[in-house]
Amino acid sequence: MVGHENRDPSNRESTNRESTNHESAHGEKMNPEMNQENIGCEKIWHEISNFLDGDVDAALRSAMDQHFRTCPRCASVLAGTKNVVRLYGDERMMEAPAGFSKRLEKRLARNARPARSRWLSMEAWLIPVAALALVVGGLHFANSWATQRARRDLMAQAAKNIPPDMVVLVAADSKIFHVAGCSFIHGKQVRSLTAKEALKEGYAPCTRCLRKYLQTAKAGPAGSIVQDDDAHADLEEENNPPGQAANLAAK
Amino acid sequence: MAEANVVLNNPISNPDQTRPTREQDLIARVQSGQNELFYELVQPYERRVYAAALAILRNETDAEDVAQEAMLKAFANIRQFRAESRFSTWLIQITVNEALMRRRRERTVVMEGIDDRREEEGDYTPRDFADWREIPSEALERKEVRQKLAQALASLDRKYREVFVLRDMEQLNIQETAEALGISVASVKTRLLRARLMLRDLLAGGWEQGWFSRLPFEKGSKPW
Repeated sequence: MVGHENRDPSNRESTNRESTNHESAHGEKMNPEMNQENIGCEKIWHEISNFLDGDVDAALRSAMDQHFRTCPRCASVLAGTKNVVRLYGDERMMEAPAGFSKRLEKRLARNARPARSRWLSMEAWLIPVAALALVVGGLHFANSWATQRARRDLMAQAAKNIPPDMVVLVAADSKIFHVAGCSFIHGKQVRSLTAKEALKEGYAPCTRCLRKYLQTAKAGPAGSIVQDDDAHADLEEENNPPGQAANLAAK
Repeated sequence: MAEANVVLNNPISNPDQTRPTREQDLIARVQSGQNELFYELVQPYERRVYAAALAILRNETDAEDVAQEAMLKAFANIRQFRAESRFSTWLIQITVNEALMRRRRERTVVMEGIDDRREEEGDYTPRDFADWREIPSEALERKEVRQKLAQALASLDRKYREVFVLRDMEQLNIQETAEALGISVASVKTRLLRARLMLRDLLAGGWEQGWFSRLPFEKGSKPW
């Protein structure tokens, strides 16, 4: 047994009694000439556990020792009880089911994982990563927002140069307004209105036929114009499937 | 079971008091965060923890579960362990507490409680007074002897079994046993006395039934 007080009951007794084995059996009562206490077997049985634990005073211990030497019945009780304490206190009586150790080790490994430094843990890594993502995302958004705004400003200024009373044409399924004769009308059904009305209704000027009114054509970067043309093309394509657009272009 | 035959080293005895024992070193390291050493720390006591749980629950599955729970609880509270008490005692007390809580939850105590009251009346009188000899510890090498002893222990009423296991098997002292079970010191002593004497009579009966028949005793004499 691991790290404990005396497991052997004989060692728990504070006396150095050699043995309880004896020859002079005589009944249950003590010999009053040998002991000052008149101790009986029932008292012995009542105190035998304390006796084994060394938990009786010196006078009682002495009386009990004497009694054991002269009473085979009580000596039998003492010896049997010693056997009990010694055998059950043996490490071999501590049995566990097969595989108990492995299951315990596994569960501890699962639930009592090695402690990592706070800054080495997964959670700790997530914090700076998330912060970095936020910063990068924020910068990207801010940049995008500024660019779009600049583009929107540029287009808005361009639209201001178009004479508001100028008659323009819009197709019902398009978002662009044109001047009459623009090849990008593609022969669609159109209706006429003023540029001011067209802008008010949300139509954008055609970058091909209204190019001269657009500031982007003069001052904007080349990319802007191309982009405008691309946007126009995209819009046109949206309104005309590629095959149809190709046919119209051929005409 | 092979596991049962392993004789444990004593990690507590420390002849040189100026140096920490391996156990003290392990405790300090686990307390400082080296959690991977926890199993090494508790491994010498795992069967004691299981035995304490089994004594209270009497069911192997529950006992194993409670033993594991107790280990996890000990791990969670390892920083609260103070060197004034023995680590093994601290571990066993946690186990007993867990087992008692489990039993309360499962309400298995009611039926045994009736028997307990009956058994506590009057002193226990030994029944067998045959001539005796010491049973050699080698008897425990035999699995059937260990099983018979375990059966005898399991046949005791709960209150006697618990006190006996904590005191004589787990080696808690009287005060620690009383604290673990939440009973008085006087009750521990009374129950311990009865448990020892009852087991003695059961072993005497076992002798009649040949539990120790292959042991080298003299013909015609009992081991007590």
